[in-house]
This record gives sequence, C-alpha cells and structure tokens, in this order.
Amino acid sequence: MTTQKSSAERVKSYDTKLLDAWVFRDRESLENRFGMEMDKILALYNSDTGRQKLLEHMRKIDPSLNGNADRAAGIVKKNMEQLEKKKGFFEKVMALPAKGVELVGKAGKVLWNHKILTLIALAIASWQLPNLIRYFASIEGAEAGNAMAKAGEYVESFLPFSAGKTGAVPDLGIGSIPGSP
Amino acid sequence: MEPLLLLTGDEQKMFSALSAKIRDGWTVQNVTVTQEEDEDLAVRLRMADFDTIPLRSFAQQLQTAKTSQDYMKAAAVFDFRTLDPEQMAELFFVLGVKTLTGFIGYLLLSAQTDEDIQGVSSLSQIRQMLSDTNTHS
Repeated sequence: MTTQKSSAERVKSYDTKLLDAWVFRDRESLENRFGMEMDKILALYNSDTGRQKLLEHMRKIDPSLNGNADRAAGIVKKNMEQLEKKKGFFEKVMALPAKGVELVGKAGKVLWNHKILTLIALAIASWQLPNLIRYFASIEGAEAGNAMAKAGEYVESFLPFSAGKTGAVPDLGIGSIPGSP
Repeated sequence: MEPLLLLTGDEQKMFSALSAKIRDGWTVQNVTVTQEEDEDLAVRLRMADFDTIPLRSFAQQLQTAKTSQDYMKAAAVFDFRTLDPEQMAELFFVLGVKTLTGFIGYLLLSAQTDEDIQGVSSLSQIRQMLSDTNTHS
C-alpha cells in the first residue's frame, strides 16, 4: 500500500542544504553555475539519456553531491519552473503600470492597517515564520479570546509550511535570514 | 480603482454576512484559485531578493519577542507603503495564493470600513494574477 505524502512532508524531504545550494535567484545565476542555457538544462532533464548527463555534470560541479544528484536536479527543475512563473507574474503586474501601482499600493496599505497581516508577511519574508507559528500555538491556549490569537488561529491554517494544530513546525532551515549573524 | 472583488464561494458567503453599508457599491465575481505546493513556496523563498528591504532588524526583534506587544512593536516599524511596486510584487510572489487567501478571509471576517474592502479588492486581484501564473506559465 502506498501513502501519499502531504505537501509539507515533501518540503521536509527536501534537504535544506540542497535547497540552499541549488536554488538560484535568477536565470543568469543558474546558467552561470551550469555553464549552459536554461533551455538546455531543461531539455537534458526531460530526456532519460540527457538526465544522466545532467546528473554527471552536477556531480562534476559539486563532487559532494554523491547520491543526492537526482534530488538536486529535481530542485533545479522546480527552480526553473518558478523562475518562469515569477517572470510571468511580474509581467502581469507591470503590464498595467497605473493599475499595477495602485493595486500593490492599496494592498500595502491594508497590510499596514492590519498589523497581524504585516507581522505574518514580514515573518515569511524574513524567514521567521516558524518562530511566529510557535508563538501563535503558545497564545492560542493561554490567551483564548485574545484578538491576536484569534487572528493567528485563522490565518495560520493558510500559512505555507504551517503544520496546523499539530504544534510541529517542519524544519525547513528557514529559522534565520540568509546572511544574518 | 475598479470596485471589483474576485472571491471564491466561501469568501462570497463571508462578504454576504457583512453589513449592507460595507457591501454597497462592490461587484463580486466568482473565482476559483490555484494554490502553490509548499515546496514551490520553499523554492520561491530562496529565490527572493529582499536585500533592499530592512528586514534584518525585524528578524532580530522577532527572535527575542515574547509578548503580543513585542510582536506588534516589531511589525509597527515596517511600513509596506514605502516599498516600490516591484518589491511588493516580489513579496506577493513569495507569500503566494495560499497566504493571500488567508489574508482575504481574515479581512472579510473583520472588515469594518470601506478601506478594508478596498484592501480585499486589491489582494483578490493580485491573488488572481498569481493563480493564473500558477496555472498557465
């Protein structure tokens, strides 16, 4: 019998070191690391023989990969997908200059007006979400009726990486912002 | 700004429960949204470049915060209105459909002013762009 892994479990199965090493901020960084264009990397990944060549290439780039090259390649594939999605999203927002500016301006204002939303957005962006989720879990029982606890209880269920009410926070290596002491 | 709310079925029920005064003047359009997988968001987080955003002091404050007041104090020093549209787009891409859906639900449950609904409108339209991106590109 097979069991389907939850999305959070799949994230947990991604090794933090691999994510940090094999996710690139932009196409240029990725192509520089691989020494080839992204389309070529994708083409290699998508064919059986090409994939073996790609894995060999990755092991040459980082000999410490050893048996993790396949997992690292999966991360790179996901990274390439998300780079394309990011490009598409930015084009959508920026394609309507006036409307785009107004939309994000009003969205920023509502986040500012509701500090719980500010807190959550910043916690995600600064890699402090596990810290905040632990805090929500601690106040929900201790301070039932507290407005922040109620808000946290509702919004928490939508947060990425949240383990909901189990109290466990997946270790995604996002406890500290990159570059911070 | 166009008085348009792009809401899921559940969100429309929340909106209907608000007072007639707050609901007045808004057009509701039914939508379905495509959420990201958590692993997609883990990758997006590492792709993000928030170097221009003063998040480090916020992160440090959060690490030592113990009370609700400490958390709110940390949040109060950061004003999203100072970010340019591209930085905001970066933030929304990292938050994803999943978190924005939580935000929209929270606002619909707590809305007291037209400005709150304007916020719902903005977030719902940004969420739809993200959802379309998740589906198509």
